[in-house]
Amino acid sequence: MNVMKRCATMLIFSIFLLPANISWAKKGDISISYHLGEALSASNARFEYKGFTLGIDMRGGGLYSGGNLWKGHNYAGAGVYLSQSIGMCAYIGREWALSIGRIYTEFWSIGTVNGRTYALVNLGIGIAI
Amino acid sequence: MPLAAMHLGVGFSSVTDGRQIPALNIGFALKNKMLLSGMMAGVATKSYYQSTYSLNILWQEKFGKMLLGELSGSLGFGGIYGKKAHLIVRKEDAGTDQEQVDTDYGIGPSFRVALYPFKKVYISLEYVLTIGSGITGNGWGETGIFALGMEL
Repeated sequence: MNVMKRCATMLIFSIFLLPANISWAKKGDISISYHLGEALSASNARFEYKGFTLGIDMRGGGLYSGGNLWKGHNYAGAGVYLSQSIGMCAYIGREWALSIGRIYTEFWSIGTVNGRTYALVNLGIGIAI
Repeated sequence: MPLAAMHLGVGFSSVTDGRQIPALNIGFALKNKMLLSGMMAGVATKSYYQSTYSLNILWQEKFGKMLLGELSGSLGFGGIYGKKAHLIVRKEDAGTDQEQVDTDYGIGPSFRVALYPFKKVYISLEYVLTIGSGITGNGWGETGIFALGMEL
């Protein structure tokens, strides 16, 4: 498992270091995405509608929702997290798109939820509606 | 490099998750969007102690105003160093204290999201996700702080 975790981290690093010459998603895109998180296990599904995010964090077992602000292809958001108790959440991410039809290859995101230690690093694949 | 601002806050760290012990959040903003930010958390009793430090180099973006206030987000790299020990044999029993000591360290991607409900007051989440060494972290861990503080 440790090998998988290290592979996941290296993948995250490589995405982080990608040059900015790919096609970036932008504010106003509507997407549904499914993320692979730490150790490439499924951890997060997310629906984004014009700057509003509704997601489920399967690792933490909770729902989160928040507003996004965009700056170029980067965004940040803050909102609430609802699990066995209610908490705050914050996240930051970047999105990019492959211009193959309507296929939307989507981003890596990183976020956390207060109360318990949930730091999520995700690579996701989604569909732009 | 000129210093643009500094922030100072107190909050709870993932290091003492389950026991909410105050931790210190301190950082310096440099003019070219670069932010140097870190955390100190620790606990000590007669039978054990643990100290953990993190330091992150982040590139900061100000995203603008949302419902709850101004929002800024930062991505970068960081590292942690921690030392922990617990007492195995008391000096009352053996003449001198004997401890089992372990260190944690790691590097990895880091991020910070800060919300400013008032102009100089922030609520932040700052995490570094590391690979490295450590017994309890299994070589992989996330170390962070949820803090309330002021920008000076």
